[in-house]
Amino acid sequence: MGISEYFPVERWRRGRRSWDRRTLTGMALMVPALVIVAIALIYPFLGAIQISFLNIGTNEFVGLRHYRWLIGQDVFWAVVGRSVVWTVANLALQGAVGIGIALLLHRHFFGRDAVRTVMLIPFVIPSAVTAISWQWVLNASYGPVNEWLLTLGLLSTPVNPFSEAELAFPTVILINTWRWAPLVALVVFAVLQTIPREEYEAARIEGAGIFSEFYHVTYPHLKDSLLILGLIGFLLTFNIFDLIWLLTKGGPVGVTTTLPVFIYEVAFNLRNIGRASAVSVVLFLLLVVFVALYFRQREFKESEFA
Amino acid sequence: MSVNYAVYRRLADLARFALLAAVIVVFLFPFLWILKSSFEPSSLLYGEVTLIPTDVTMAHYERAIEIGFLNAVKNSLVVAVGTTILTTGASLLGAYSVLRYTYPGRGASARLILLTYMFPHVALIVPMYQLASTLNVLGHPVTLIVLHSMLALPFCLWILQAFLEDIPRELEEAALVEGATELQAFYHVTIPQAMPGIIAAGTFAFIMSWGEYMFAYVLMTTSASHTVPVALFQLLGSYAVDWGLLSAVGVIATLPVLALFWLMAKYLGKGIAKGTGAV
Repeated sequence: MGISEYFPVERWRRGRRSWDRRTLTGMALMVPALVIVAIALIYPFLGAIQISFLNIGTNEFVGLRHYRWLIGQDVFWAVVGRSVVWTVANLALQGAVGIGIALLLHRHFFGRDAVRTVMLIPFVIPSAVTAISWQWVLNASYGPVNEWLLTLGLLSTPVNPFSEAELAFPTVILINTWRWAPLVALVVFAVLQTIPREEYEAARIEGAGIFSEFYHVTYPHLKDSLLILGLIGFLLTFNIFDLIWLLTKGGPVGVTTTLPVFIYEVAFNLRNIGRASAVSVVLFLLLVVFVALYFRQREFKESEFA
Repeated sequence: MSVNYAVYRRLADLARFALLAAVIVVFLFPFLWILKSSFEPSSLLYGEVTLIPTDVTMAHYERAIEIGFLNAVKNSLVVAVGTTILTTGASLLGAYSVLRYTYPGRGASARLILLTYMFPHVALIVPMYQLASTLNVLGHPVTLIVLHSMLALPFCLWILQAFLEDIPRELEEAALVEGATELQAFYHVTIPQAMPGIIAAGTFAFIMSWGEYMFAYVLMTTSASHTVPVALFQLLGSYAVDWGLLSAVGVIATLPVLALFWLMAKYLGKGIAKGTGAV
């Protein structure tokens, strides 16, 4: 009673203290994740930005020289274009194959769970093993695919798709699709399972065919997931290095050189780390712009990414 | 109508099974092919193509062990287990923090982590190499564990956030009412409830770490520290390509992740679906 009722200092103090404690606890729980990102991403990222302004041999500041170099390089723009083709082709194929498989799995049948598990195996296999097994399977001299195509008369001479300028890029794209489509199928399948049966029945009563059913019933449910998958997929696919490097090292004659491979080549084959870092910074900015536009275009639920 | 419809259904089912069978064959064929090749004597490998080997040998596996490939398996196990523990722990705490607490910088921290997938990882190599060499940890598993954790972290965080969202807050509050501390409530209530998510995130981190090539290649500088993908790829260059040996080594490189995946497939599948917001 008395004045303390109007000025409950004690409660304020307690209240604030406990708020402070909760704030601190929340922050503390985030620390391990932030430390990992700080050491393995932020620090080297800032380092790369710094290097992009330096002459690495003498450590002297060269301003925008590396950036000017790359803007003037036709090769650079060709590589950017190829990266876009790589990403779009992969996403389109993975989307088509993934959705196709998910639709095949949609209706229940005996052994469906086993199929669902087995189909994820390409994603589990290390990319180095993927590279080696496809190279062996497609080997021109002793591989089964060439042998069969020759027997069927579809080929007249054995072909090594990794060394043919027209075949190498599509082949690598297909192998990457082989690796990631199962994941798309898994996610799409999970969404399909949430669509109420009644919606399909209603569509059927109204006489919808397979395509109209897909467009009017299935697709609206898939849209949100596909947008998120598309964003993550775009970033991951754009930045893929391992599989391309292990299959072709960017060759033959550069036809499989996407931006990450280009960066590696400039840094370690041409030994110009400054230029390579400048390319990386530009690539990063391109992706930032892309993500910003993506978020502006699509309204995401706050919980998806925050 | 009903007869036609039944026939139509039968045909559609048949087409569906044929397509699915084709998909499964295409998905499994490359691995089955190296599995077959790994048991085939070299004399047969470079002859006529057959689906079933006419003769079987263990020579390629003996050779794989002879050249010390198991050491790479051991290195990869250390790195992958380390990554799994670090990533799962950090992302569990991070996800819990994002969902249960408010503080300045919460949204920014969560978004910062999305940066991981935006920066070309190739560009991190040089600064990372310099840092590791200054700290004298080149070739040390810890170097790779931290990098792999960075790579796996965002997705594990999403997985765990999705799973934690499903745990009713009342359960934790009940424990607090019963007199448990926040830490006790987290340990005895939240963690057991989140177990499927923790397993999913851990499996994802393990698979990712096991297969990562680029950072491992650059930072694990001594041949004694090579992980499986690096050791595997070294063989492609250093020997006159011996496909029998490569196949055997490829099989050894795949079996540990395949076994883990087989055990955890249920959780991993659910985790990926939830992490991408599908369900």
